[in-house]
Amino acid sequence: MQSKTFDFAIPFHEVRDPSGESFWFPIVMVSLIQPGGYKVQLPLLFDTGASVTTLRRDFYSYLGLSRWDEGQAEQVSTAGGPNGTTVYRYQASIELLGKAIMDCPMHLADLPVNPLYVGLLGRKQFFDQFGFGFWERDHVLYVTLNP
Amino acid sequence: MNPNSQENTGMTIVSNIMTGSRSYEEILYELEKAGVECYITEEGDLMIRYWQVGAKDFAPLEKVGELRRRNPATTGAEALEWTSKHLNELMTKYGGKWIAIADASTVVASSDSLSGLMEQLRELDVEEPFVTQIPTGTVVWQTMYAK
Repeated sequence: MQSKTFDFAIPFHEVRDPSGESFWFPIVMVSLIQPGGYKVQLPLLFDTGASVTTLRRDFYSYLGLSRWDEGQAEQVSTAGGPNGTTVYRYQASIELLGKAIMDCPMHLADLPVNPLYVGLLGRKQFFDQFGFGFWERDHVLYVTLNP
Repeated sequence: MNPNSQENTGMTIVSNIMTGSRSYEEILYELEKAGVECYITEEGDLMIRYWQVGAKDFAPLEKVGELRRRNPATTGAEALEWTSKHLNELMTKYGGKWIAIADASTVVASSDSLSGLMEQLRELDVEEPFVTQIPTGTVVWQTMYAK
């Protein structure tokens, strides 16, 4: 049997719709670091299906860009349809639980508005810096800073 | 680190560490590796945001799992919890706007655009606010990812 040790336990966030049905979201608080060092806390959905961390397109100005679509265009497939969608690739520094990952690949995309998350925490150059244990039954995401 | 730097700042240095001849890059690397949150002021000073205080072998190993579930490590999700709990009020007042929340429960800025919000935050000098967008209509909680 394998065992892993984790440093943090992040409870999923529960939302109830008007009918009383529960929805559980693995949301993590990430600090997005501007080139000048200023930080804002952003709620991101922990998403193993996202190849790259993706923020809503509005964040172009925060990243020091004049338009959201001035970066390298990339086609990505989504779970929402067969045709995929176009995203634009940049780099940004982000921090989770005090551990900063500099110059992480970052997509800007046309994501729907959700008040509880402004983007998706994706895998490339980020997940391998941490260890994650996804425990749906307990609605907890376990995290270690030293995988 | 210069112990005299506390003059005229209102800060008190209760402890200091010898940084010797190590470069600023080496020191920052070591701090990041240790998970210590720090930042550089505009004057080039290194500021460490906090230290965690620990008690080694505090609890028996067989109780650690239970205790960690009861007392999860802080994840900075207080503002998210507050947003979720007060979503209806926020939608009435800030529907369609980007908002910034400080101290977990105070909306300190709002704007129709994220760039407008960031301008306000720069003027207010708010430290690491929580940023999200409040939708105007019904939020769809069902996603392609998980329920």
